[in-house]
Amino acid sequence: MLFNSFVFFFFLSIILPIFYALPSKKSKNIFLLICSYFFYGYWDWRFCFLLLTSTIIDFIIGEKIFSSSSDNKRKWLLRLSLFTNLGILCVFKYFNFFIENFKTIADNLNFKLDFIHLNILLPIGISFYTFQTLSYTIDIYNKKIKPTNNFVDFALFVSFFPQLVAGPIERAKTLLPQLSKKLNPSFTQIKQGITLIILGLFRKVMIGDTAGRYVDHIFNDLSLYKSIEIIAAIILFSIQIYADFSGYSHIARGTAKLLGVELMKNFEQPYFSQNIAKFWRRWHISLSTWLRDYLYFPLGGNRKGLSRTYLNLMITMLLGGLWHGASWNFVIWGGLHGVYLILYKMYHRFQSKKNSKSKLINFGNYILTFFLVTFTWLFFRSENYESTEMIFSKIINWETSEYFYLFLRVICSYLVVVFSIDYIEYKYGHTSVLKLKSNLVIIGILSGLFLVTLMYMFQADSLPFVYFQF
Amino acid sequence: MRFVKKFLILLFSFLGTLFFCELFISSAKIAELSFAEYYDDIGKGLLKSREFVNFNEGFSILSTNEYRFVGDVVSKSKPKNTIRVALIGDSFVQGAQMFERHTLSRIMEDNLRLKSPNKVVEVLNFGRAGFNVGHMYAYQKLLIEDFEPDYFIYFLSKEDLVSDYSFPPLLPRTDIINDSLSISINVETSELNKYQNTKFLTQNFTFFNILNACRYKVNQGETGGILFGKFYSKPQIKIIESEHVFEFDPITSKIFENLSKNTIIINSNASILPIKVEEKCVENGLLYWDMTYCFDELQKSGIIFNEWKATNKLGHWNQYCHQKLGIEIANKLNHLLDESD
Repeated sequence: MLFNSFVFFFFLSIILPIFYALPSKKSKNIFLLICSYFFYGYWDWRFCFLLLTSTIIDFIIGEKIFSSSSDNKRKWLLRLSLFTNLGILCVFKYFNFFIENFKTIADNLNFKLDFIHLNILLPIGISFYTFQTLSYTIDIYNKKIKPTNNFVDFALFVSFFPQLVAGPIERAKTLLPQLSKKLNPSFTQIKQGITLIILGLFRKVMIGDTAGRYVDHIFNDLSLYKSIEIIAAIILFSIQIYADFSGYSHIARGTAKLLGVELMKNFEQPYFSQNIAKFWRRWHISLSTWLRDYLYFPLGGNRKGLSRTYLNLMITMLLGGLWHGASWNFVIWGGLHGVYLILYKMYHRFQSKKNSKSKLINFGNYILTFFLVTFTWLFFRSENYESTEMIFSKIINWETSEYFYLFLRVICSYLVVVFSIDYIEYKYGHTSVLKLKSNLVIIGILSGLFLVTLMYMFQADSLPFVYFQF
Repeated sequence: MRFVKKFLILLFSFLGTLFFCELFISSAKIAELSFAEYYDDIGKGLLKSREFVNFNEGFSILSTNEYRFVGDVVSKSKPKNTIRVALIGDSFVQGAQMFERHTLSRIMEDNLRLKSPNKVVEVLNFGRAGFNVGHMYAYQKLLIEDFEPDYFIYFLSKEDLVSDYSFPPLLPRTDIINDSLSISINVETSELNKYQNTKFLTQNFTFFNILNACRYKVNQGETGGILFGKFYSKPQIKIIESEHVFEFDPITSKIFENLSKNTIIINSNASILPIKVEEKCVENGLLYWDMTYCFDELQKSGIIFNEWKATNKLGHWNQYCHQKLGIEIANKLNHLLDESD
């Protein structure tokens, strides 16, 4: 079920009154769990079994790790959890990728290998809930949290529908305690929830989807388009993926608030970052902090010398890239970010000795960061090596388009709107509309945005969220 | 008084938001303003010298010239030593789903110029969305003939051969009056009034065009599916396969009899036109070019002529089809020009 579909609102309008009417914590959680499985099963009910399997395994292993006194046994149980979770992920997401690459290497060495190519359907949101359950067992192993003995609470923690398919990747220590109490949304939460849903929907539908149309058509057949048109597609993809994912996160947080649950912020105006390190503290925060806590730190972080820090950064970013999808493009994307971070660290060591920074340099840093990030999106969006090559060739061998000014205008329009909204959020917070003094003005603005979005949604096809494929 | 003040605050904040959305929607070309205008001489036509962006199954940017058809600026009277070809058809010919530089007319022109550098060839695109043969012929008489084309190429599918004027309204039409063809503009007062009343809004606010698109979806019976997704099962329409024998409608038959000898009829669909069409062409000295082999060849090379991969939809001809047809028709035309030399 897509957040940007009428069906979702139909679903929400049925479940919310029932949820509010239910008297006890137990009944509310059981009801939400059923709704979450229904939400997930709406795409393909078969994947519900996979979700349930992952949940049962981690629930049992978490309990066993906690109750076990032997370090060796605890280690083996953790390994079992990692093996099963990552195993499921590998089979469903990376199996064909590894087989294809292995075949290519074998072909180059003149070994003819006819491996079976499994036609596996990627279960939606598998990377998100796998990471979520993994963090649970790792945290228990590290004695940061205690396991829950309530299976319903745990199953709801894994499958909570607002964040099930595209995050934020919540930690057990923040979400489980909320689910272990009776969910009772306050009036403020409901107000904030509705506001976040409307703002998120506007962002996703009116900015993300509409920019995505340019991107999809142009990337579909690059040979048909000229230089400025391809540059427009790259910049618009940078906008699309941000508006799409941050819009999703807004709706997820808003929906959760309507159910009395607080989810973490996943974005904090990432394109207002002065450097790449700050960008990663503001972009897909739940993933970057997950990778930091469960990969970068265990590798040694920055505690084992400079060159090891650089290596750790690179490993983290490469695996972060691969987390997005089974393709070399994502590895290149992650690798480029790794290079940026290493270069920034090097520069920062030199830069920290100097103090003053002019406003112009600061502004230049914003632009440079945006440019560098946008450049990497090119690898993220390109379907294969040939497409990337064609993009470079088209940009280098500049061809003038008869629609140069039209595309310039389109790019500027999107940039102005995205950065204006971001600036307001940066200054006043994600539910900035609610900071206005007059309730009538708030209602006027929100209903205006909602009406435009609904009308557009009605006449245009709903596009799935970009991050659903991960 | 307090109520009025409150109401005004609410109204202004609501309208203010709509206004800002409108600015964004129109400048980012999310939705277009209406590009139609009613003219006394040709009925509802395209706006003069406008560039318009459209997304449907494809992504299209087309621009009109001052004479209200798609293409570059041309002189009304044909310059000396110039061969003019007029393409007459519906949205397929107009190139409704692609950039102007990829349309059939542009590909034909480029190829004709390439193959005969000593000739000045102009291919004019008179394709208009929603046209059938009755509209096309009227359009030819009211506008196209002013440009003195050497060849008229009609692109027709079986459906276009029926001169049905029930929709869209305000277009030019051909009728039979006293056994001869009569050209007029389909002015139904109610339709014209409806158009005039909404013209200001649709030509200045994209918002109303989005509303219009919603209305269209409702009329198409898509509301249930949009609102309830998998929860809604669309009523099954019983398809009755009929062994319908093609018969010319009287207006179409008369139009074929009145077409000038420099007219070429081409089928604009993958399926061949009824044999009676070809017979009628022969009978009236018109050229008939069956282009179905182009569609077949595309299909054999793995390209479905109306498939749009970016949106996963089937619809108008895609770029490959325009390319293929453009080259093939240009070759045939080039042959014809050589013969006439």
